Amino acid sequence: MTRGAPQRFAVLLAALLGASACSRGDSANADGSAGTTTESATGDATGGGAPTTGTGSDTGEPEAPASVPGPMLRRLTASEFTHSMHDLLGPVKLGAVEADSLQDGFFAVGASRVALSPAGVAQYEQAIGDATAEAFADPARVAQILHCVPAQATDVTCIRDALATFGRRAWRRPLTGVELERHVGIAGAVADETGDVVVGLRHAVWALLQAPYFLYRVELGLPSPEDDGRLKFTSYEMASRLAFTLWNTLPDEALLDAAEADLLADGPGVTEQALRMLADPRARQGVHNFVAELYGLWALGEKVKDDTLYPQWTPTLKAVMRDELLARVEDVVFDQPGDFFSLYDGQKVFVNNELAAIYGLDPVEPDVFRAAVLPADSPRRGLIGSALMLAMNSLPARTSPTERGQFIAESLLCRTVPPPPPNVDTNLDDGVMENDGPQTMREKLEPHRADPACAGCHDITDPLGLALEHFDTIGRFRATDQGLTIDAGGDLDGQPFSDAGELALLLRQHPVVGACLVRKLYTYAGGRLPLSREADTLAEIEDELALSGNRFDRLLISLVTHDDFRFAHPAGTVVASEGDKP
Amino acid sequence: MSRPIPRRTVLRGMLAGVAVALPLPRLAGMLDGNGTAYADGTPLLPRYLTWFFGNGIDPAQWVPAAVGQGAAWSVSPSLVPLADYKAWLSVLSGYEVKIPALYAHKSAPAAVLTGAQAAMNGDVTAPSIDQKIADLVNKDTAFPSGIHVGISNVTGAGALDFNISFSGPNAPNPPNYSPAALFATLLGLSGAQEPDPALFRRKNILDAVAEEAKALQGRLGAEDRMRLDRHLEGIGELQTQIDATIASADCGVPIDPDVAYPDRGEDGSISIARCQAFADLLAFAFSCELTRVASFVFSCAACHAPYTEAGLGTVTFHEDFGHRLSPMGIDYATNGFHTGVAYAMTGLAELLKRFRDTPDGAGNLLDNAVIYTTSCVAQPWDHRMDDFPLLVIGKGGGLLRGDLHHRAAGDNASKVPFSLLKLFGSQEPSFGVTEGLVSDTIPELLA
Repeated sequence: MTRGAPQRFAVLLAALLGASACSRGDSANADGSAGTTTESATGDATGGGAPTTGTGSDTGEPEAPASVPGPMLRRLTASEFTHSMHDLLGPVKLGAVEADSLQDGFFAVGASRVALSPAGVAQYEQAIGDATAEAFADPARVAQILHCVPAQATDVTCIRDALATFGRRAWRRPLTGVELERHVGIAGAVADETGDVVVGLRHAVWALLQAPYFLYRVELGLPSPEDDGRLKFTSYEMASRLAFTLWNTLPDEALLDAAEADLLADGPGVTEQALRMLADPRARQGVHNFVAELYGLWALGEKVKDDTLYPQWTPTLKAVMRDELLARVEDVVFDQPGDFFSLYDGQKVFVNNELAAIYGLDPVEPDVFRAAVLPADSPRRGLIGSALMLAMNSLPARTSPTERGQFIAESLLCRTVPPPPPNVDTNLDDGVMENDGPQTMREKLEPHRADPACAGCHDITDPLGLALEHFDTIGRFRATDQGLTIDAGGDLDGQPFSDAGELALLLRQHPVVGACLVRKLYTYAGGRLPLSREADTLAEIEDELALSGNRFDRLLISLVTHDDFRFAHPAGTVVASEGDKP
Repeated sequence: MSRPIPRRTVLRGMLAGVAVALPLPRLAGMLDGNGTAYADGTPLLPRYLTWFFGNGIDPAQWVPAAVGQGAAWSVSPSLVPLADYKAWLSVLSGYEVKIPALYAHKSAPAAVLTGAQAAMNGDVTAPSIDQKIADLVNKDTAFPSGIHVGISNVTGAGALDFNISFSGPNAPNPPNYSPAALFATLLGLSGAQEPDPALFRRKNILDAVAEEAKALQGRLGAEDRMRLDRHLEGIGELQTQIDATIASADCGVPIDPDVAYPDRGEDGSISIARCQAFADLLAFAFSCELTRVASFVFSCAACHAPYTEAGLGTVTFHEDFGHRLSPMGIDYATNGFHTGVAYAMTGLAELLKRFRDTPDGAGNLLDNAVIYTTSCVAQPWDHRMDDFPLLVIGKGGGLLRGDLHHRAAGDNASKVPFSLLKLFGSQEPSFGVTEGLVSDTIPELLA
């Protein structure tokens, strides 16, 4: 995303308005009085359509004083909701819930900005109602879900125990007395009406799972005078933050027990739990989800290819392409574990026979999903050579050097590709179709890059994407394009490469990949773009990444143990410049 | 389709102390002698629907050759599928989206739906026209923010996500892609089933959820409070629907899409049968006044889905035909694009057919509807913003003239939604902002 003038104005406006918020205190009261202040600090920016989160700090422009957004509610993403429901109820069928919204490249960011529609509330009610009905129909399952299963409605102690325990897990904190009694009341009333205490408990669980404390991540922090007025996340809130960041689901009982003992209020306590959590299989689920969001794997499902030209493009091929990408990441992050950036130039792949055919590897019998190594002289290296990336960033009938280049520029190098200028055709090879005779993609694109109106974006994307022209729209190697010789050479910031393999080697060595990965992870974990004032934090985490030999598991530890993961600033705090961080 | 006069003719009831609007089909027998108001004098309200299709039109095929009213004009090649409904059709040509296309595939749809520029992240900066109309005429129905359905769930370069209805920034009303799910909801509200005691339990649970949401409100900043307010609105709507179910009147039974269209294709795929299924359900919901506002997304802005059923293969309609990049050549691509636009209009015609065939008041639903049809671009292969596709269909309860081709070359496209907003009684003196701002309507539209 780029910074536009309106957004700079909005940031300035928010900063000016935020000044009063700062001097008048920020904690909103139940009567809403202080909240009015907050509203003026942020509401106008929203009204103007600009996000109130800070803008990217990667453009080198001087920063206006920034108004810090306070902690935000985050609706559980579809993935977090699914994992949480399965953790609580076991394997149940889940109906559709309102789709995630992609903002700043992440569902995690959309989840902290976009409001649920009225129809979305009804969808939750339906999906949770059906799931609880399914789970509670099986007495054996009920015994697993509930800490205590009462035999009759008069066993209030057991009902209370069941709901207190379930409620703590679902809401990631203990229920207050009022909250517990409210749900005990629902269970009792329905038990009386139906004559079945388990049906009563199912309804209480249905209520607990529709509550905002389940459907949203409520991590608001408490004012901490000894920490320079910052908001400190409570131990329970830290349990939630750790679990959703590292596992993509809610905390387990051990993590909540640690929170109950207030062991997550300091760095060492968080480190101990984080190390335990990374050794748990759920950590793979957490990394999967980050990678899926980072690389936009959601788009694979709707990717179509011209089936007259590419009959190989089957649902099973798409599925194995996705499996392969995740297997590559798991291998580097957990199984070796090794340098994350070996993903950028490595030649270890994972295939079944269908994918092996795309990679030009021999089939094996029996056909199993397996590791394989590409020939050292193959130009296919790293993520940019994976079938998934090549196919996802292509059009149905042909490659798209622009899309492929945009993937490299934005996802790996955190470069900003500006939006197309007004009223121009974004498809640069229009018109060329009318020419006679085949042309390589480079030939088609280069005249357009001569147009200054287009060169702004295409000088960023096309030279990188053209390096991948030896791979067709479903990712197979091709020596020529329509019989024409492919020139895959170019340069990356002055470093020449002759083909995709050399570009992959340059990408791994590129000085910004570490900072870029940190920035992406920070955005994903925080549900917003990093603020300019957080540049020091990003730099510190990046240093730790380098010291660890670029280990992603260590990066996760650095992130979740960092002060900025444990503290937030109250909304509206004005930060005039860098370096004033407490 | 005709339906007996409902046995119960009571319009309002009380349930547990809550006033409940009962869904009843609006038939002549319930109306005053002129068919212009209910017997108790409550005026009839027209229904509003936004019908959106992605990827634009070819003005050379879309714009009718002659202007004028009635016999003076004939439908254009792209509009042939709508010929049976010409009496209700107003083609507005020559209008231009004045808001600059800062964000490809986002600015123009935001402009024609909201009158304002899109946000950089692909969101809107103002509420959409359907929500402004819902505020005027829909608050007493079971779906105060309307019913929102969609055919294709394939994205278009992140353009406004999949949405065409927005209560405001960061507050979309995403389409429901499942006719079966909408059928189940409407069936419950139709009065065709015995009220289930479980309904009261659901209401009690929602009361508890609302208590918790209200308790949380006090701890939140302004933006989160607005988000949670919207969640509370949703809880309120659901409770209204449950009330309506409990007290429901006999409004007939909606057509079950699993019976009528078993081979309609997966939710999210494009087929005419899916258009038919939703058309049935929307006609039912409008007829019973379960809602007076709806939106229908055939395909989203710059939609990347294939139009396979139209014979256009498995390639993306956007690339191969919208941008005419088909490897089969430019003539094939151009013809294919025309086929695709007509295909979309065939999907629209299914809705018009059911509205026309559904009795409503003294006439039919199409007489009492206002259907605003538009897209994300004019001519797509050069992203033109002039001669934007803008149709108004229906007679708006007698307020709209119909059978019209009105051309106003270079005029501001915002005038169309503003005219419709005024039609529904808005007192607002203008619509839109900056280049999208207008304070004039289109008098030629009116009867």
